[in-house]
Amino acid sequence: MQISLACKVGALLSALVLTAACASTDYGQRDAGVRPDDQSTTEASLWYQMDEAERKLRTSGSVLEDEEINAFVREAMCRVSGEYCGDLNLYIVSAPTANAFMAPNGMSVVYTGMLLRLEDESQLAAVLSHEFVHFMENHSLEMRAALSNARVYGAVIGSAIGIVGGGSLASLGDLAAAGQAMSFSRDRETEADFLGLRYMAEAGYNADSSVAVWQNLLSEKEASEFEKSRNAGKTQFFSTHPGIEERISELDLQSAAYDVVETDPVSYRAIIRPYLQSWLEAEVTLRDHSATLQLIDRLSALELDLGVLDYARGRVYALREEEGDQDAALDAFASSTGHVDAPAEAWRGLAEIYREQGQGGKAADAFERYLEKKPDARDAALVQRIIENLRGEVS
Amino acid sequence: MKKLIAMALTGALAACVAMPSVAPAGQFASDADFTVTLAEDWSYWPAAQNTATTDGYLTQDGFILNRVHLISLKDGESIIKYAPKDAPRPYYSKGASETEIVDLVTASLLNIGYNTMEATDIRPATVDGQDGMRFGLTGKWDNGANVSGDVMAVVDGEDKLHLVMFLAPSLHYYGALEARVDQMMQTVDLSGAAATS
Repeated sequence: MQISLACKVGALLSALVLTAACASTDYGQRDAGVRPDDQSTTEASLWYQMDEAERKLRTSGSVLEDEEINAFVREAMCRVSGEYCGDLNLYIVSAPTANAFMAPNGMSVVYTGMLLRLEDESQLAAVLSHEFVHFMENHSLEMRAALSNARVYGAVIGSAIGIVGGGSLASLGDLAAAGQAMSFSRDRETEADFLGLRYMAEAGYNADSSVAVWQNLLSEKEASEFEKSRNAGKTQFFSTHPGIEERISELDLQSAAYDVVETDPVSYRAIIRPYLQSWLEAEVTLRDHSATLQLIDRLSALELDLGVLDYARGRVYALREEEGDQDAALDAFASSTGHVDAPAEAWRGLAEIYREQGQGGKAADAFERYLEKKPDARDAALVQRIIENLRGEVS
Repeated sequence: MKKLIAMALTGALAACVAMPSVAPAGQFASDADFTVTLAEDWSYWPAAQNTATTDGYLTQDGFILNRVHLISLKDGESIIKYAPKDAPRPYYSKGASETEIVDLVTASLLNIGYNTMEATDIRPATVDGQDGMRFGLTGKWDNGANVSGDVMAVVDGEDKLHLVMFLAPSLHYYGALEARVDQMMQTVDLSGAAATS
C-alpha cells in the first residue's frame, strides 16, 4: 500500500509541479535563522508538517548514526550553506535510493544510496549545494504559492506525512513521497543548478564535479533493465529533476567559468568504506542487475576495495542467472578472494556456486574457509550443517 | 418484497467479500500453499485484506501487535504485495540459495515499513520432513517500535518457497507469542493445502 500511495502522491505532485511551473511567484531568498512567526500562515503550516515528519524520522531507526560519516557530510553541507548551516538538520537515511532533499524547515535528507554513488567530496558538495539552493530560495514555498488551490498542496504534503499502518513519514515509501514533494519546476531546477555551482565553487569545491554526478547517475539509469527506471529513474534524483541531458550540457558550460580544484576520491572512499559492502548488498537485492553492474564497474575504476566490489559483482551474477552468469559469478568471487579486503562472504559465494554445480568437495572446502574467516557468522549453524551434508555426500 | 430482495443482494455481496475471519483451532488452510495446525483460535486476514504482503496473516491482538504471515512464492513472485514488476524490487527466484532467501525477506521488509532489519541466528530446520531453515529478525517498525521476528523457510520439490514469518514488537508482544508460534511452525504441512482447500 505504501508503494501504491507513494506512486499516487508522486502522480499528483507531477500535476502540481506542472502547474507550479507556469507561475511567476518569487519569494526570493530566505533569511538565515528565521522561522515563520505567524502560525496562521500556510508557510508556518508547511513548517509544522515538516517538523512532525522530522520528529518521526528521528525515531524511525532508518537514520544512520555513525558520527564520522555524519560529521563529514555535515561539514560539506555547512561549507556550501555558510550562515544557513545552523538552519539545516542532517539525516543520513539507510536505503538504496539515490536521492537527497532539503525540506522547508531545514530537514536535510541524504540517502546512503546517494553517498554510495558519489566519488569524492566535491560531488557530495554538488548534490548538497543544489538542494541548498532549493531550500534557500524558498522553492517549496514558491511552488505552493503558485498553486491555485493551496489546500491541494497541503493535502499532498499531508498524505506524504500521515500514512497507513500507524502512520509515519519515516517509512521509506513515505519518505520517498516526501522527497517527491520536494520536486520542483524546470525553472527552479535550473536556478538550483546555476546557483549551486556558484556556492560549491565559492566553498572551494570543484564545480566540474556537478557534471560528473549527473553524468554518472544518467549512465546508471540508461543501464537499467527496467523501462520504468530508464524513463523515470531508479535513481529518484531523476524522477524529481527534469531534462537531465540538457542540464548536463548547461552545467558543463557553466562550470568552465570556475577554477578546477583537485578532488580526493581516495579520502572519500575511506569515509564510506565501512559501509561499502552493506550498501552494495542492498543494491544487489533490488535486482536491477545491469544498473548495479554499471555502478560496481564505475566504483572499481578507482582500483580500491576490489575485494568488496568483486564480491558484490559475484552476487549480481549469481542472482541474475543468465547464460554464462554462473561462471562470471565464480570468477568474480574467486577474484574477490584474491584481494586483502575480500569479505568472508566471498568464500560463501564461491561455495554456493560449487554446490550448485555439484562439486560437493570444493563447496564444503569453501564453506569451511568462510567459517574460518567469520567463525561468528550469523549463519554459522546453517553452514555447518550444509558442510556436514556435503561431506556426507562426497564420502 | 423490495426489502427482501435488498437483503438477499446484501447477503450475496457479503458472501463474496473477503473479510477477516476466525481461524479455529485445528488444521488451517490459508491462502498459502501449506497448512498449519493451530492450538487455539486466531484471526485470519486473507490475501484480499492484506495490503502489504503476498497471501494472508494470522493475528491474536491485531496486526500492529503481532502477525504471522503465511506465504508461498513461485519463481518471480515477491513478498511485497504491490511490488511493480517494471521497477527494481526483491523477488524470489527458484534455485535461490539460503543467503538469497534471507536477503529476500529482510529487503522486502524494508519496503513495507520496517527499518534496519537484520537476520540473526540463521540455522537449519526440518520442515515437514524437508531441509529448511529458521532465522530471527530484529529491526524497527516505521513508528519507532523495536520489532523482533522469527522466520521459517523451506523450498519444496517444485521450487516453491514457503515462509512462516512472525513479527511483533520486541517489548512484551514478541515474547508473549514466541513459544506458540514456534509450536505452529512445527506443524507446517506442505501437502495439507491441496487436501483442505
